[in-house]
Amino acid sequence: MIGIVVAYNPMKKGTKSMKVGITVWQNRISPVFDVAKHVKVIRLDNNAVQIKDLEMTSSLPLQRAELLSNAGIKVLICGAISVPFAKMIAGRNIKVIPFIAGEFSTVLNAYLNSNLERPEFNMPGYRRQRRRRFHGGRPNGR
Amino acid sequence: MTFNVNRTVYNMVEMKTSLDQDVTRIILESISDGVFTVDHDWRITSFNRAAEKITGIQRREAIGKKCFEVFRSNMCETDCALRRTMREGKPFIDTSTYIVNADQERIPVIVSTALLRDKKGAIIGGVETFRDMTIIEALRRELDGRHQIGDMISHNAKMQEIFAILPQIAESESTVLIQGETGTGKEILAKAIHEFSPRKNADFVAINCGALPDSLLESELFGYKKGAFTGAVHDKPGRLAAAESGTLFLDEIGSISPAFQVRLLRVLQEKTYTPLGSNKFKNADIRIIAATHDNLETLVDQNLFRKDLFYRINVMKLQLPPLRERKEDIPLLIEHIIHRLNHTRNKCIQGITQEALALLMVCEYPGNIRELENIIEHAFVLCTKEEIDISSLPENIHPGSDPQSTTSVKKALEIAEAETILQLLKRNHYNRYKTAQDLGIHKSTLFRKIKKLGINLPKIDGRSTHSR
Repeated sequence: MIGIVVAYNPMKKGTKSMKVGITVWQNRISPVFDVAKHVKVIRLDNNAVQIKDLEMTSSLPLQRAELLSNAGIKVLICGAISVPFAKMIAGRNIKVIPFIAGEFSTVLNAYLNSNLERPEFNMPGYRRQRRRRFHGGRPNGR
Repeated sequence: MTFNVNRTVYNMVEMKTSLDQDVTRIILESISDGVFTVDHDWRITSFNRAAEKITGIQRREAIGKKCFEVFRSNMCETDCALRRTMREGKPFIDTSTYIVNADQERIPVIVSTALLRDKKGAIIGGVETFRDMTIIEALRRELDGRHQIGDMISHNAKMQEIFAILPQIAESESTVLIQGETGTGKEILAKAIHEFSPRKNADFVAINCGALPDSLLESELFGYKKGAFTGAVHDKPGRLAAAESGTLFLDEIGSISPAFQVRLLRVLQEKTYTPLGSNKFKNADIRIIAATHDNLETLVDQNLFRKDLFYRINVMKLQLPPLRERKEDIPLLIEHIIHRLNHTRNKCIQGITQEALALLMVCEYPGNIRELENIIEHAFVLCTKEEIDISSLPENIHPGSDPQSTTSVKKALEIAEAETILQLLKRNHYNRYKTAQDLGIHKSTLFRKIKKLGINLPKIDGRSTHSR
């Protein structure tokens, strides 16, 4: 299938397996989640990666969120997504990584290797907020 | 010499080409429509200033990227206009769609597409122009707002008359009587009056007089003191006290008994009342709005309603028309209900199909707007598509699996069309030209439709007040 090199496992310690959903169109990330038809469901076990297809049959936010949730997806990687869809999915305790562009295999590799925050995976015009890291010291500089 | 002439001609052609390109570039940069071009691999080759503004994406970021990752329209994946143009070799004009910007907002746009050819006529890609419709959509919503007061929404002439006088009625302190069939929105109108009145900061308290027996209605309205009757273990203020400085809405006032009518009359006349079990008068600084589905004048004639009370409450009378007399509002009401349900239920239903709307246009609605609301809510729950279609409507409305269903839908469409034309003709005093303009069709098309649908018209033609 695709060459996936897992150098880093993004699963939390103690987690047996995790499912990641990636909306795909023409072997790239779907441009708009709201109307995306196909999701690749990637099951990550400690040493294995399994990929299955999920068809998005409904165009409504609630049903789409339910489909993802019922498939056990915990992280969704997608292209552009409008607020009602993003909120509904986040409400199902699914982490959304939006405005991602690129080929499916490259994006998946980047996610597995924790490189998805690199600017080359951002859709044009989208600025991903950097995660603030705590370096110690007192809050508010006191 | 020959060489020099050729060289000069070559230079002139090159200068002209360069000038043409400059002119094209200047034009593209000065227009307010977004324009981008793509090559055969769907990569963006040019991106004008307006495109930068509408999408919020810098040209340098867009050039060389796949167009669908820059434009991000809902059509990209399924029904790309540019792809259709490239495939069929013909342009597409004014296709409505939306794009999703980096703030996760949907921006409504209309797009037009065409082939891009080089000087020799060979296809080198495609060009897409797009216009931001956000302001147009906002204006459209604002125009709709003119047909709305509070939660009431209507294009109907009778309703417009109510909307026009409502602010003055609200401003006054007069008692209002609202008459209308069940489900016509009497309480919503009462709330709108309250919201527009100087009492808007105090409470709007509603009580359904028809739902309670006399004794309960009395204690509910006036309140009671501890020990006033068995079970009155503590003081309880009534609805009159709750509505102090505000508005009290008495629904179904035609249902109250003659004995209670006397007590209510005293409140209206004296502006005072006595809670049950108390011997102290309390002042009632409240505005009364009463409503009934009965004809109170008929009840007065039948001695079922006191004449003096009728005159007390009938200071300002508003008559709400039933839904069957304001069918032109049905599409607007459906849109309003869907919008509200989308908001409360977190759904994204875009609207209703023409066939389903046609069926709803021919219903009689004995339960009026409440019945329409229930129908839409039913459809809303069952709808799994972007638009509510016939299959989502309750069974008593849609034609189901009837083999003649296509005929029924067609008939329903014709009836709805005829009703709409007739209502618009009436509104325009049978002026055919104005009606055709309102419908957005040519006058001769209207005449053809009138003939085809068998609409009977009076001899007045609307051009003058005289009959022929």
